Amino acid sequence: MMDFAAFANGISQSDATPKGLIASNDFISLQRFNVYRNNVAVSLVEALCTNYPVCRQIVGDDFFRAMARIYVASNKPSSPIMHLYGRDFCNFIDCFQPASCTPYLADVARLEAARVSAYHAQDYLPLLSADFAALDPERLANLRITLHPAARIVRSNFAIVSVWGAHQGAQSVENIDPFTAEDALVTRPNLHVETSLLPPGGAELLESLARGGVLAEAAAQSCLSSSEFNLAQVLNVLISTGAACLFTYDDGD
Amino acid sequence: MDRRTLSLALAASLTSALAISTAPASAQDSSRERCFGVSLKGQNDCAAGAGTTCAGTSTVDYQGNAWKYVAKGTCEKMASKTSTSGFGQLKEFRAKRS
Repeated sequence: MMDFAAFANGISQSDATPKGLIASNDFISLQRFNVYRNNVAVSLVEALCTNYPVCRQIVGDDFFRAMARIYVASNKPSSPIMHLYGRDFCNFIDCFQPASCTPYLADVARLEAARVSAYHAQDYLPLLSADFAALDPERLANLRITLHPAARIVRSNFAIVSVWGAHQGAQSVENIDPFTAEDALVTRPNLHVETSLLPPGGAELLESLARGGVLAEAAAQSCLSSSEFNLAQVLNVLISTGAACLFTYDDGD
Repeated sequence: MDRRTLSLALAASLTSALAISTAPASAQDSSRERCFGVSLKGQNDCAAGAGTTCAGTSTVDYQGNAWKYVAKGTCEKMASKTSTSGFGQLKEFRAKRS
């Protein structure tokens, strides 16, 4: 009987066929099995092409496929769901020497992975500006804001939002300095995944809120981390992108 | 500063945040429109990823039932080889025979 683990391992080797193979004519050919091996590799490379369309555009098809092929050789899927494949491709890119001339590539990959993951996140109605307007102004300090299940924060030392946007036709590439730090907020208002630029201190604020911090503490932390932090600006992004889904008060103290 | 005073300070920021966003609830929605027939292969706005039926399934350029978000007012000015009007359309359409 075929042992699945042995078969899976056998796919990555290239010098022998896995034990237990059966062929209709009793002839197990290494050459024939290598066709199957190649199909597996190509389909996984194809999945990475679909999951990381902008990265592919940045480095070009040949470079991307060659890089993906090396990743695929040592990273077999752990799920049959292909949009989950290659979630850690960004970490591979970080260490992939030939990609070091595009140092922002790994973070653009993080942004693209966040977008796919946001697409498949749980449904939940986002809070609208009317919900924010109805908040009790005397209890705001103790307000906890739960982020929407589809909200993702991707922080970067590079201009990932502008670079990604340029590949959607949103702006031209000439005006982008890739070495400007940008933090991205991915959300899914109206069931469409959108990428927004977070203002200074915004990522810190949302991350504090995501950890369960109350608004006063989260805002204080953002003030410390960024001199340009403007709470109104960050709240505006939070509201307009539908990144919040639940209010609770921590009135214990 | 006590919690109430702190809350009122935060409320001032919230008020101005809401003032900015009296402009559309979702900025993109009013400034963009869905445009059929202008997206190039595999670049239609679908973020579902690999292995789904939606990603990259527009296999021909200017596919009539594949759409892409574009700046409002520009859709019907964008060239589309498959469109009977020769331009993008705001509704799904059948490709003309070439």
